[in-house]
Amino acid sequence: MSTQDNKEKVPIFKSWKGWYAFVVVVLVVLIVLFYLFTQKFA
Amino acid sequence: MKPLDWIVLITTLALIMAYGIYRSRTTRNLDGYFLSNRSMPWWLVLLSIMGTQASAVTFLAAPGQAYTDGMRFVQYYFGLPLAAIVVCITFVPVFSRLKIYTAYEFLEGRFDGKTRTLTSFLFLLQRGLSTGISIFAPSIILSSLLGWNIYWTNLFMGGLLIVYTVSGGAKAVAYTQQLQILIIFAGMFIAGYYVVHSLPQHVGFTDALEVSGKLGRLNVITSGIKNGKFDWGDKYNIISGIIGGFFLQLSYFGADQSQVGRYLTARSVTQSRLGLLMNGIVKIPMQFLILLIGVLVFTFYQFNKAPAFFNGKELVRLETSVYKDSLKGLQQRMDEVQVQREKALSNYAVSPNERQVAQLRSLQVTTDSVRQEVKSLVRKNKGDDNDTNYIFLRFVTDYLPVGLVGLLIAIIFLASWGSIAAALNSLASSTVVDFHKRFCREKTHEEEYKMSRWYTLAWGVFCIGVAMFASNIGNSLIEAVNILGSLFYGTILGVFLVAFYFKRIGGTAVFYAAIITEIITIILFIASELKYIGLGFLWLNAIGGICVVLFGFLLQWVLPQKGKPAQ
Repeated sequence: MSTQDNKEKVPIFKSWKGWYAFVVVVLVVLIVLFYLFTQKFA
Repeated sequence: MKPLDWIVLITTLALIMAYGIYRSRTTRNLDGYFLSNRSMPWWLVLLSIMGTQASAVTFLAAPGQAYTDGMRFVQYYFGLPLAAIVVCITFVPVFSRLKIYTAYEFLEGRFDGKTRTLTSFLFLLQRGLSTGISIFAPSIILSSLLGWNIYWTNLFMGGLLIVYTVSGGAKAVAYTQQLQILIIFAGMFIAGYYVVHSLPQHVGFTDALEVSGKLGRLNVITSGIKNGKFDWGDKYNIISGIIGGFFLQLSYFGADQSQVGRYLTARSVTQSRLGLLMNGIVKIPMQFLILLIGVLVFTFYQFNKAPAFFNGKELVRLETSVYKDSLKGLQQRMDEVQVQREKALSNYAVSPNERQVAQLRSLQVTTDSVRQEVKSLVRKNKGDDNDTNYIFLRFVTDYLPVGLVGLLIAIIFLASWGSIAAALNSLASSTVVDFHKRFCREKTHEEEYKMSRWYTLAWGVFCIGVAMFASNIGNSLIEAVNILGSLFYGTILGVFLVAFYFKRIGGTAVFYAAIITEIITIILFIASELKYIGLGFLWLNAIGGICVVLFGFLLQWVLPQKGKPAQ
């Protein structure tokens, strides 16, 4: 990996924290959706 | 298999091999051979990570697991996104800054040579054996279902990919995984479509979900609580998935060279992180869909007669054994239950109510009970009584159209090749960098490059050897793939956790802490297998990781002068 790492912009979000929060939100949303799915059909 | 199936299978495999050899042009040094000159974009890293993690067992075992046990296995992956975040924050920047080839190289600088050697050795042992089993597991299933010779199947499953893996290294591995994943996804979607298409005309997709849900197969989220207490022996629930799964995935992505090697090929920290995080986002939905196919197969067999036992080879052995009359009786009972089930389903379709649901559940209990009796006969006949991994392929070979059968069989090979190729590349890189180079110095980059290719070939031969040996033992080893990881991952992860987060602990303390922890892990595993304790194997990862940290502190306190802590 090159020295361009420090200069490379974080895509989409302003920082990597934004990405990490997004991944956590996706996980929580998936768990909630799966729970609702289980409740509806089980 | 029909001629068209063979054409599709051979063409697909030949295409992958040709593409892998075409993509084998790389610089003739360790950077080129093991890390593709650190040039990959995030999406290629993502596909490579996915191709490495999803083996043939994923596509065989998961639908079968959903058929017999429902969808709760998806919870096994809930810890993965959280682990990906931790790897992005801590592991990726450090590995990138140090320009390492293997994860264990980092440990020598942080601790000492013996800690690096121990951790690398544990990785080689675990990955070497599990790769051999990863060759054997799909081979025994294909051999049983299709009547292929197991030794030739092992050879094709593990041997052909050696051609492009040896010649092209990490670059060939990554580019072939890209193509493999796309073919696998396309094939699984087509299979899913055909399962729904094969249901009776009056049964749509949501009807299928409703039926399977009423029969307990859509148990996606489970708490693990039984009789008011948390069941530590329960394998898959939301708690073990998030906590135990987190430690497992953290070790897998942070300390297993077969995955570390994938994101080290990225051209920057950003590309590495994006590949890992995107995998954290897509893996769970992908696994959900694979399990859903198993549920749809289950629904299909509500309306169609299911085999008494999905492993046809064992069934044929039973039919020609002293138990054939007992088997015949059980098969007649299954036929009678099927007639009652079809009637109950018609009644349910006309007037869905709790009484109809109760009757369907009762019939399912009867079916499960008859299957248990058949399994008992298989055991008495000295066969393997676990047919979970045969369910999906049996459905494929019995019901899917000609051509698609060949494609689905090809997918089993491709999934296998993707993970095995990455494993061979990582085994070779660790052998060369963590062992060979430290004791035998090659003079030129060309010599190192040639040595790397020889080691890749040697590990390929070793893993095929393990597969051949496993063929003599039996296919209960299929489950060993999952368990082998948990036996070693906790200890290896613990060493890395100490390395990153507990600077006061030095090399000697963590070295002995790792050995003690590994012994404890094996004891706990044996105790659980012998039913002295109830402990799901996922928990071994967390226990291993935490024990190394705790013993590390204790030993550092007892041995303060030996093994300097980090400055």
